[in-house]
Amino acid sequence: MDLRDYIIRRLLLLIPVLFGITLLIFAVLMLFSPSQRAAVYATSPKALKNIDVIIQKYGLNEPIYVQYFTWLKQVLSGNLGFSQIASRPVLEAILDKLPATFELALFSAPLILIPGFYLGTVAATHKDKLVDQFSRVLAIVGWSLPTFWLGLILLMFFSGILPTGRLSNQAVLLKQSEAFTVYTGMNTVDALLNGKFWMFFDAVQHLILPAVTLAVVSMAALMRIMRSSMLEELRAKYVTTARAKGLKEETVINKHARRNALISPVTTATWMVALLFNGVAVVEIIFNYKGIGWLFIRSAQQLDIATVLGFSLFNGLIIMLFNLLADILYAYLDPRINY
Amino acid sequence: MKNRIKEFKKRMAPRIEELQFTIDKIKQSPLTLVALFIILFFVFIAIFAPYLAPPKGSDPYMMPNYGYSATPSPPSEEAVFGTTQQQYDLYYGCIWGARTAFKLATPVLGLVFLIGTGLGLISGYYGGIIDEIIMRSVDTVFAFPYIILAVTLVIALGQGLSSMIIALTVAYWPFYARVMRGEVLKQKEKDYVKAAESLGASDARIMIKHIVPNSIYPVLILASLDFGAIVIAGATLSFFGIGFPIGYSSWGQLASFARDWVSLNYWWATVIPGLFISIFVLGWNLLGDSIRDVMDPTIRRE
Repeated sequence: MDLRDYIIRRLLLLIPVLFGITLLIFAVLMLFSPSQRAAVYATSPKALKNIDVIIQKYGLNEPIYVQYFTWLKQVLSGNLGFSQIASRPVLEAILDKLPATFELALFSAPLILIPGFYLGTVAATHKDKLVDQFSRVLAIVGWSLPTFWLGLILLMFFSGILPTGRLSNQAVLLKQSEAFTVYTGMNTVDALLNGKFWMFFDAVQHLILPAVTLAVVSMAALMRIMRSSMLEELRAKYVTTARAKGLKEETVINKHARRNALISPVTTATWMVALLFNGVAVVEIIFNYKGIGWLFIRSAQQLDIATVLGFSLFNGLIIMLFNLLADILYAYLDPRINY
Repeated sequence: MKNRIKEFKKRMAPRIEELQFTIDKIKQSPLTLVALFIILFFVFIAIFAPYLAPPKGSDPYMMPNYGYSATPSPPSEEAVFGTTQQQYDLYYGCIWGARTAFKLATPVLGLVFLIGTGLGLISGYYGGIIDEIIMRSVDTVFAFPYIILAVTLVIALGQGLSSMIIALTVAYWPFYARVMRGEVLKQKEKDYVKAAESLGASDARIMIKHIVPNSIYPVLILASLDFGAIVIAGATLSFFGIGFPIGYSSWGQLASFARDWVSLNYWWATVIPGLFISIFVLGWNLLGDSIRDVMDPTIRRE
């Protein structure tokens, strides 16, 4: 079986999970009364005023399986309901906030990956030495601090120095002016494309605290995974062989062991992405950074169920796709894998 | 009789030796002792909460507040840790918050352990269509970050402790099912299971008497690492104002009250509840980390 067949099989396996995801969200939806559920079908605030019409139109008093297919049809046509928080359709609201969160993740990624991989490797090659103990303490403490508290503490110390939100008022004015073209929705990228360097620095300043807060937990997790993966490789026979050949320890670690040790973190990539999403919700609320996590928590606080359920569904699908990508990458990286 | 005791002793000798080895290992690791000390400290607080902070209202879990001024006031004789927004007593909230933490995390952990290992056992032992259904359910739940799933469920079920327990259980059981299934698959092919089968032992007997004792350790390690994670998850929900009603003793909620007063001038409102959560979780994480070293058969004797 080659890689292509593997990918096709993997895609077929997505079907039951896709079914499961819709079923789970639908089950949660059915916990609400028909008049509450109406918001999930409405396409405009005007429609929401006539709840009885919606209940009639979408058959919200019909048997459950009939309702499931009606709902699925709506979802597939891209209608996730009307978001009262954003006063626009849910899908539109999510897509509007998505670039902000993507930008935050983009700035957080190097803060997670570089120290995570580096410290993990160093801790493994210096097992039980000072560096290893230090990394262990760092990881356990990093795990034990709730993200929201870490965020609050950083805010407490840096509130006068680093701003919250996404942009300063001045930059918002520029962004809304006609002279500015929005290409990606990511402020840093758009600022560079428009040649406004001061706005780029303004956006970066707003990103520092959220990106650092977001990175800590994932970095600690990655470091530990990398450490144990590296330790396992160092115990393997081929490492002994490489050493017996008289290779320098540096070469053994960098060229032999580390390359194989990198595979195992890939298998946890989905889990790491999920971890990142948890953090995004917390960090965006604390630093008032208006991305999808902010949108989700705000709508949960206001009991805006259309947005809550729409976002959950959207989130489930995104992570499922990440899962697929990670599996393919894993198969590609590790030739030993049995397709 | 004497002979039987002797025989029993002889039969148990390896187990006793192993236990002795485990205890020695724990004694050698100061971190484990620190972890146990922290956890016992919080157990003490939780048990003696009614004496440490005598309840003032009809519901002991509701925090008393002294007046209605929004601004937190510093530690004083009336409120030793100071008060937070709306004059809620921080000391009272932190003490009873320990009870809340145990009341939330213990049932969640118990339920995920039972449901997760049970389904993982059935899934791994029987295989086939049952395995397929259970594992696809696991994949489905894994497609949701646990905070997102738990928030969505609590919104649907309504505020309160039982909703939080259900929501977190739904979000956490798949980890246990997956680990247990993997272990069962490993054990199922071993000779001792074949031997039991050929002696005509029933499925239930093979699973419970033979497979479970040999595959439960990794799940136990996972559980000890998860206690802290569940407390953080619960605190995060109440930080969002989603888990508990306003005024309920919960560390997460106390931290959320400090949300508008994040400044060194009101440090106690932010720092104190956060310290309670962090030290509590640190205790569990230290314990989990050292249990792994002590119990894991592959590194135990290194």
